[in-house]
Amino acid sequence: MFSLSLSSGFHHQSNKMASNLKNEVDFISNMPDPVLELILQRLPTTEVVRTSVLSTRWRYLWTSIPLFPSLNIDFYHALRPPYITNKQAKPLIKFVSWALANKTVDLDSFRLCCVGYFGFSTVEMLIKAAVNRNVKSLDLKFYPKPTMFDGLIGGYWFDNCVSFLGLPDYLVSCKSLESLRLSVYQHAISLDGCKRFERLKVLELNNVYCYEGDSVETFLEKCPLLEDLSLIDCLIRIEDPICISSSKLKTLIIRNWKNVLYGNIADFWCGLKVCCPKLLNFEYVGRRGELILEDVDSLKKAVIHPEDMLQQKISPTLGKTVSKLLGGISHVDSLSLNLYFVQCIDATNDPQGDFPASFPNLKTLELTTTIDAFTMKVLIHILRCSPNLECLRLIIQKELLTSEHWELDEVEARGLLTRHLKRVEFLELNGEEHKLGIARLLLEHGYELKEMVFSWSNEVSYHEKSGETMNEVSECHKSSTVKLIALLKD
Amino acid sequence: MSTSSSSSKKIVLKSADNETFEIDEIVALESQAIKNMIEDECADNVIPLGNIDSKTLSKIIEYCKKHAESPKKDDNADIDEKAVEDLKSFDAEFAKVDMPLIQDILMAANFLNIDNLIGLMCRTIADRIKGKTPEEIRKILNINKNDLLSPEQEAKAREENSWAFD
Repeated sequence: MFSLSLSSGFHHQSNKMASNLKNEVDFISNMPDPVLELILQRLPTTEVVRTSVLSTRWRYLWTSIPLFPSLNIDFYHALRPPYITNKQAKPLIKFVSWALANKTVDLDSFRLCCVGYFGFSTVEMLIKAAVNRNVKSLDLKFYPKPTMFDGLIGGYWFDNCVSFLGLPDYLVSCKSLESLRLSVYQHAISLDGCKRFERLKVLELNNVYCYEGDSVETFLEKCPLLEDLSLIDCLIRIEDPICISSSKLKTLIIRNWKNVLYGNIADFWCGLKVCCPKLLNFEYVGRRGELILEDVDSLKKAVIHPEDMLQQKISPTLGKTVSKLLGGISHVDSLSLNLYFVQCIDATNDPQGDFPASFPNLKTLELTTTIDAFTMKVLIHILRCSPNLECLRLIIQKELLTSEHWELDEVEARGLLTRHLKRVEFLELNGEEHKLGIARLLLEHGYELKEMVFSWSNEVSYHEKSGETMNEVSECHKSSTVKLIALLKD
Repeated sequence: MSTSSSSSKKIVLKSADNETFEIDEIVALESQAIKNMIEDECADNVIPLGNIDSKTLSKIIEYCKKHAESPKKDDNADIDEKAVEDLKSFDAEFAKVDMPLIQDILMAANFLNIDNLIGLMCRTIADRIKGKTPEEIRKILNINKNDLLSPEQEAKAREENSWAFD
C-alpha cells in the first residue's frame, strides 16, 4: 500500500494530527505561504500591512508575495482621526510606491482617498506607477496642495478663484484603463483638450468644469467605448443646452449641475438634451432646466429630481413640458420623481393633454410627495395609468397647504389600486400620524399586497413611535397575508 | 458516509481514527492528490489518511460530493445561474463552523489538494479576522505566545508603516 503522504505533488506541511493539539499550536500559521497569501488577498490593504505585527511567521509574509492585485487605501476609514502626520505620510508613500512597483501582476484596481495629504506631484507619480502596472480601474480622491500648483497640467486660476486641471495625457492614453473615478477637492476638472480614451467604459468625474459649449459633446466622441458616465457637481459657463449623444452609453448620471456666469453661480441651468438609444439608466438631480430626452427607447430606469432654488410659481407651460417629458419615457420599468416634479405635473391644468395615457411597463415607482389634495391627485393619476405596478415607494413630506384636506371615496380608492401592487414602502418616516392614512387605504384595498415596509430615518422616533405605528396599521389590516415590516435606515 | 449508484467505481477512505468512508470515485477525484494517485495506479482499494480525523473527513466528503454533483464552470459556458447560486449558498452554510474545525479542514484540504476548498477556508478565515486588532487576530488564529515579536521588534514594525496603524 502506498502511503499518501509520500506521493508527489503534495503541499508540504507538518503531519501532526490537528485535533490532538488544537489548543496548543497555531496550525494556520504553519500553512505554506501560498495558502496564507490567499487569506491576505482577501483583506483590505491596510489590514494586510498590519499583519506584520502578528508574529515572527507573519512579520514579512506580506512583503514577499505578489499580493496586491488591487490597492485600496482610504484614509477616511483607515485613520481615526482622519488626518495624517508627515511622519506617517512618508512611509505610506514609500509603501504605495513599493506596492505599485511590484510588476509581477497587473493591477486590477487602485483606489486612493487621501484628501489633503499629498501634493499633486506625488499623486501624479502614483498614477503613473499604476498606469505602468496596467491598471484597469482607478479611483482617486485628493486635494492638490496649493503650493504644488506648478505640477498641475494646464492648471490656472479662473473666475471665482476656481482652478482647474485637465486630464493628463498619460492617464487618458492608458491602454488598460476601463474605469476612472476622479474627485479633486476645490478644483474643477476640465474636459477641454483631452485626448482619446480608447478603452474607457466607466467614467465618474466630480467637479467638472465645462468651458466651451461643445466640450461634453466633443469629449464623448473621444470615448468610443464609454457605457457609464457620471458627472457630479458640474460647473458650466455656457447658456446653450448641453447635448449628450452616444450610441454606446448605458448609464448617465448628472448631479448638481451649476451654471457659472461672471464668476457667480447662476440660479438657472442651461438645460440638457440626451440622445442615447442604448441608455438603460438615467438620473438627473439638480437645478431645474430644460430636459429633453430623445431617442431613449431602451431606457429602463429614470430618476428625475429637478429643484427650483428660488421656488418660483410653476407655469402651466412648464407643467406641459414636464408632462411631455414623462410621455417620452412612459415605457420605463422604474421611475423616481421628486416633489417639484409632482408640482409641475399638477400645474399642467390639463392632465389629459400631454400626460402619458399609460405606463405599461412600470413596476417600481418612487415618489416624494405630500398628503395635500393636489399632490395626491397626481399620485392617484399615475397609479391609475400603471396597470403593472408592483412596488410603490413613498417619501411623504410635510403638507404644503394646510387649508386643503385630502379625502378619497371608497369607489375611487378601489378604482385606482392596481391589481398588481405587491409591495409598498414608506421611506424616511418620522412618525407623523397623517402619513398613515394612505397606508390604511392601501391595506384596505390592495388585494395583491404582500409586504408593507415602514422605513424610519431617525433613531429616536423609530424607538419611540415605531411600535405604536405598527399597532395602528395592523388594526386596519384586513387581510392577514400582508407582511408589515419596520426598519431603521441611516 | 456512503453513496448510492452501485454501478460507479467506489473508493474507500480511512480516517486517522480508523473509520472507513466509501465514496464514488467521481467524488474522490475532487481531490487532486487522490486523482494523481488513481491515475498513477498507486491507489489501493482503501486509501489511509493518517492525519485526518473522521469528523473532518466527513465534512470534506460532504463538500466534495456537493461540488462533484454541481456542473463545472468550464464544462458549459452558460450553466444556469441557479446552480451557481445553489453552490454559493452551500459554501456559505458549509463554512459556518468553529475555528478549530476550519483549521482542520484547511489542513486536510491542503493535504488532499482540493483548491476550491482551500480557497473557501481562506476566505472564511479572512472574513473572521477582517477589521480586528492584532491582539484579536492572534487569539482567533491561536498564535503561539513563543512566536510573538519582542516589544522592540513590534515597535519597529509599527514604526515602519505607522500609517496603517491607528
